[in-house]
Amino acid sequence: MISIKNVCVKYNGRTILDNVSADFEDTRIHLIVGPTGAGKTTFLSVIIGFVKPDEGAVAVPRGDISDLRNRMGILFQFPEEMFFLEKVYEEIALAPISRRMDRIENRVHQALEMVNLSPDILQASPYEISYGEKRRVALASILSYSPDWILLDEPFAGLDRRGINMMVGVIKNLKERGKGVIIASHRIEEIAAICDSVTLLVEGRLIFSVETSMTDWNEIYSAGCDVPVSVRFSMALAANGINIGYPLTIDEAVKRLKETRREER
Amino acid sequence: MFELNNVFVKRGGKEILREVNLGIGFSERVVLTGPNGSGKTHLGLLLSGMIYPTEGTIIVDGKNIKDYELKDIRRISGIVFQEPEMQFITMSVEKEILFGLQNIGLNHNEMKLRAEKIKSMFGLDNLWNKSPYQLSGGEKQIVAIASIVAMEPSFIIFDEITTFLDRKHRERIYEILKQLRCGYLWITQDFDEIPIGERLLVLEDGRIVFDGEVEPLLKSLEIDSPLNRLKRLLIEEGLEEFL
Repeated sequence: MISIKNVCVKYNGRTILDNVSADFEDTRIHLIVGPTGAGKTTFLSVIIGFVKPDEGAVAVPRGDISDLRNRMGILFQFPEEMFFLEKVYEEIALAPISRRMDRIENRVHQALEMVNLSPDILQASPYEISYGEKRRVALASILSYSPDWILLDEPFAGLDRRGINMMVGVIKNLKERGKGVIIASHRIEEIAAICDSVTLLVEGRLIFSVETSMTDWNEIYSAGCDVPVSVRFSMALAANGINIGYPLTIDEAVKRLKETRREER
Repeated sequence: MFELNNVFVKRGGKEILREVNLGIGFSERVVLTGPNGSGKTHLGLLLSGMIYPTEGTIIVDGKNIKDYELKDIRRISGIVFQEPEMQFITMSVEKEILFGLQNIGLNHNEMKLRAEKIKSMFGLDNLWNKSPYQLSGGEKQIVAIASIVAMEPSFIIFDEITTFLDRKHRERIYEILKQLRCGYLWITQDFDEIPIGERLLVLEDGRIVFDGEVEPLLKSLEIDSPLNRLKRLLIEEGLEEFL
């Protein structure tokens, strides 16, 4: 588990994170939402240790804190812009090589499999592959050193529908492989239904951090964020006196509405 | 208007845009969508005079786009990018607005007048003296739009500018769009944004594969957006009353 305790971050006299506490359980998918400027990226940077909190601490039980960088991997926005090597293979192999790990080729193949890419891509230049593939190669380039935790900052930004669906599949896959995933995203249409917890940050303050089923989506909407279409629909129904809770998929929303109608009759 | 005649853009042996034939009026509100790598950004860059076709011609108001000077092109078409920081040059919002105005050759009085008008149109009073780099992502994008609108171009290209914005800021920008007196090309991946335009262009693999009116499409629920999926499912399940 990752425990964030009373973390404050200030920058140029401005408070970016204000006394934030939250726990993230292993092998789960955690979603961080919040309007632009809420502090989501800073929050991820604190967790991985790139930003040192002015107050408070991040506790990662089981293991040495100095080992943190090997146990976590982070992808910032548009990670594919950081490519600088000639072949996809080299990009993915770089992290385990620089950490003096063994079985590099094996690690590269495993990472590639986790992001649903075929080995054919390894000899290609990272500049000549498709946009969606680039994003997944960037993800493979941190999976190759086998971190337990993957932190993703806006992993869907700029991807088309197909790319987004692929990425969602990969994230599910990571959870099945026993990885913990923390995603900061304002695009949640596709990810809401598969995440285990939802954390809302607004202007550096933590509003809540709860299991997905306990999430107050009204609060998220009022904060200026997106909510899935199914939630928007249920909010409109609620305004008309029909309660179907907060379904996270369209199918579930329609199913619940049908059931409610049946019960009424 | 813009007239694209058999336009190709090639880079490193690859055809990024092919056989594009299009006429776009300056007052048209056009949405351009298509998968990653389909050539959307290149089409936007072409219309803003930032790049030229490898083959074919672009005629703007009867004259080849290559024959214009950059400052004249800026009076015709402005462009706003996904990452607004790419276009900031100065250290205050006010200077940012004035910078563009100076470049298109306005005199001091005209610049001041225009800047005041933009300040009130975009509600920039509180940000006026701040550095554009200090602003939140949403504010930055609004300043970037303001600095382009200030130049009063005939047409504006918006290249996926809402990618990093939350719902509130996006809605604010949609409101600003409604106030614009010029036409625009709105590039997006988000099918929910299609109603922003009156005309829709779809690019696939460098080719225009759809060019038509938005209105009938919206009625037909043909666009594969989450909202339309919900509507279609409600109809299928005999729950039309909830549409």
